[in-house]
Amino acid sequence: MDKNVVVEETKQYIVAKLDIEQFGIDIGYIDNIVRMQKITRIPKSQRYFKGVINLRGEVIPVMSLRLKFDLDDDVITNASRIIIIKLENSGMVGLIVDEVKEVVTLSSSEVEKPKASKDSKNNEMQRFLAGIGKHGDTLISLLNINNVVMDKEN
Amino acid sequence: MDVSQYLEIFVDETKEHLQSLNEQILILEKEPDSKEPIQEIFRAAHSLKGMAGTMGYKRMQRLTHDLENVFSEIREGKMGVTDELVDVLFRGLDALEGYLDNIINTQDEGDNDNEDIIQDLDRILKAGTGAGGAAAPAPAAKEEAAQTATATAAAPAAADDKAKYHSLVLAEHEANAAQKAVEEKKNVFGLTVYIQETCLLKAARAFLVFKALEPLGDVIKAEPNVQDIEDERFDFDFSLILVTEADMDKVKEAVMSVSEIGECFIGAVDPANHVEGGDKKEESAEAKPAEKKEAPKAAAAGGAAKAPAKTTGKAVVNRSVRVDIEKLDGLMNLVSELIIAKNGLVSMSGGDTENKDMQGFNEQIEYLETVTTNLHETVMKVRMVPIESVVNKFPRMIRDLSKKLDKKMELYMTGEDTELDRTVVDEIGDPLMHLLRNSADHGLESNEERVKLGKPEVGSIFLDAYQEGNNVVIEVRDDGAGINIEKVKKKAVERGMFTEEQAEALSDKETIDLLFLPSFSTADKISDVSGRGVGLDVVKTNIESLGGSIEAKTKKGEGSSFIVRLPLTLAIVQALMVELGQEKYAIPLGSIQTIENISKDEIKYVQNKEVIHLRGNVIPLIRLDELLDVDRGDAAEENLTVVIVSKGESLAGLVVDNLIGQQEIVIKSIGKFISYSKVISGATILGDGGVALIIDPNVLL
Repeated sequence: MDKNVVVEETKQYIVAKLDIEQFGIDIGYIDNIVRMQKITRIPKSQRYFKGVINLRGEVIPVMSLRLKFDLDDDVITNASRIIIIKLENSGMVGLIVDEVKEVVTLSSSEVEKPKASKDSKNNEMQRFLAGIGKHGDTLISLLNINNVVMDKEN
Repeated sequence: MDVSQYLEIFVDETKEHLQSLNEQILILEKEPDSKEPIQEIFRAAHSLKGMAGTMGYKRMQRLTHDLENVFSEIREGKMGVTDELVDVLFRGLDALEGYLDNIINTQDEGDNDNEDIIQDLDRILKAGTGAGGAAAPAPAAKEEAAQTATATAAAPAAADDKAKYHSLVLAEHEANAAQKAVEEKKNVFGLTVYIQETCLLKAARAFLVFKALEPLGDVIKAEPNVQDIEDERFDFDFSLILVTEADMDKVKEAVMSVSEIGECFIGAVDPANHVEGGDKKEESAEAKPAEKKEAPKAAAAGGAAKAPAKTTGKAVVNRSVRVDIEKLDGLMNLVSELIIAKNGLVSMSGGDTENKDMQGFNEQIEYLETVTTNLHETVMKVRMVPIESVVNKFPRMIRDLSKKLDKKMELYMTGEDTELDRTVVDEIGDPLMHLLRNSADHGLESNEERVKLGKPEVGSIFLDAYQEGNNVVIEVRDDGAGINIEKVKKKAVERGMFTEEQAEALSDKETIDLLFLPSFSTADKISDVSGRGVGLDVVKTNIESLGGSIEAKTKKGEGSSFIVRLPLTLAIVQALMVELGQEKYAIPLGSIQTIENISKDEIKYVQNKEVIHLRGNVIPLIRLDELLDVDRGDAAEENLTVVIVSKGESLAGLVVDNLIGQQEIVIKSIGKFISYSKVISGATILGDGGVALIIDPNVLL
């Protein structure tokens, strides 16, 4: 892979586990990764928002990726983490994941663009994906953070 | 001389002077015979001219000069105040404002000569003063000279008036000193020194004059006194009496050697003519050391003014808040206290760690708490400015509208001194202007119609500002026809927003709310003033972006009113912390009236809704736990804790589980991504690091 660095563009991703799947988030979006902490519920929010937390004096909404992706609700364990995403001009948001595994570097040749699917539910999921990363023999679903965080659904 | 460093001051002061001109001319229009406004106008115009000249804005100076000539004629009573005159004067002021805008943006006044306004002014001047037009400027100039001592336009005839030292009065000891000097064959001279109007540091120049005279002899008397001169409390001239061995020319030369001195009148004085009968103590003796002490300082200041400020290359005029020095002093004191408190804690952590320190520790914490609370309040106060700066321009606007729409109307304002955060004040101008235009254009009927309806011919528009709890309320009201509910409904149907049946069913309030929707204008004609479809919806958006709200009320035939509510402070409020189930919520103290303990039996039902009857008021109960989906089991309690909140006249009772106490909270935004109940206005961070949500009772009412 080191040989490729010279010719190809590479990106670093944080790999997080959610259910049985591995998800990758572009490290450029990540402000911080924190342990699970007390979340204050926000009435009448979107279903997949768990509430808000206090991160160094700022109030940050926290979203459950599991609920967002229509998986079973989170079971909080010692490995659970909140990945704090920082988007330019729109502030921060936290994503709850089961576990944060590692940081991987992927070159563009190792990333496959997602194919459009006919299944409408899969289509919905497609919007959240930026591509599939191949790292060794594992596949990582790379998230399109903007689409995950900003959503029409209310 | 590089003047760019004074640009900010120039812009600020020019704005002030223009505002005062606008106001005073309005008064003058109403009371043409009153003397005060014209004096005020003259002063403002004169300062403006001087300032523009100093900054090198020649066109601005010329226009102001011509305006000033007209003002001077009016002051002399040679000219009446006519409608036409006032119109031209306002055009002149607008042109000056145009120059100022150019200056703010580019540091240059632009190249519009406004020749038409100048010609109109000339014409009015000639017509107004009749055939003797040519002769008029001379006395005018003289008057001007005597009033403000202009150094540039000195007519010879005025010279006697200008040598003000003739009228100096000497106290006994001063007279004695002068008498002694005469006996010693010294000269006693009276001097009146005129500093150029363009001079920026008058006091410094004056001191340079004193310093120049020092080697020649003693100043035994100055008018205004030395202290006043030092504080710049004089126009452009001062007089003094000098005892010297030098001759008149040498003294004059010494004075004139100081730069920026316009003229110097000098003459021999017989002390006997100046003696005062009484025993008034003058500070000649005291003036001397003061002068000596201050002179080098003044000279230094003068030098600084001259030093070219090359660093200020581009002219970006910053937004600034003028702060009352007392408020800054308060801040300074608090910061010092903060440091003391911090030092107290530091010394404690370094000292022996016996148990006795625990008490001292708590004391220090309490002290720290007091200081931070006060510090916060003071900083908030510094940010607060009266809405005056915004609403002041409205009378002029209404006058112009009145002409344009050919409707007679009058604006009445109250509460201009109501204070709001600077950021809010900056933004509130446009929405209010919109509302006023709206009232003038749509609200008020035409004059004929008003007479027909038996209303006073002149329409009234009111702008009232006042504080209400943590809000500032600004109400724009008119006594016009009121909003035509039927017309609004018809329009809504025409636009296809509702069917006729639906429209029929709308309540008055719902109908009025339609007006705030985008592109909903009921004006039959699209006029220049309003009715372009960008109206109330923009106002509403603007106000809501400031965290405020707007509502409209109307009564057919009696007028309508628009009520704007704005938050007083943006960041920190006092709040009551309450508990709902396991969750904590904050209710801003500003909207809380009382807290009541209500037993279950006292709950009554009206239209199937829970209400309580409290001291003559029927108050609807709001179950916060239901509203906010709080899970609290089914603890059906016998007694309810009810927080009574109010907005204007209306009241509501919020049912809570527990009261925690009063706390100062910092308001944080919850962020864009998450949607939440409208009842929640934000969040705050608690002492234990947890987050509590803030309830906005205004939404509930």
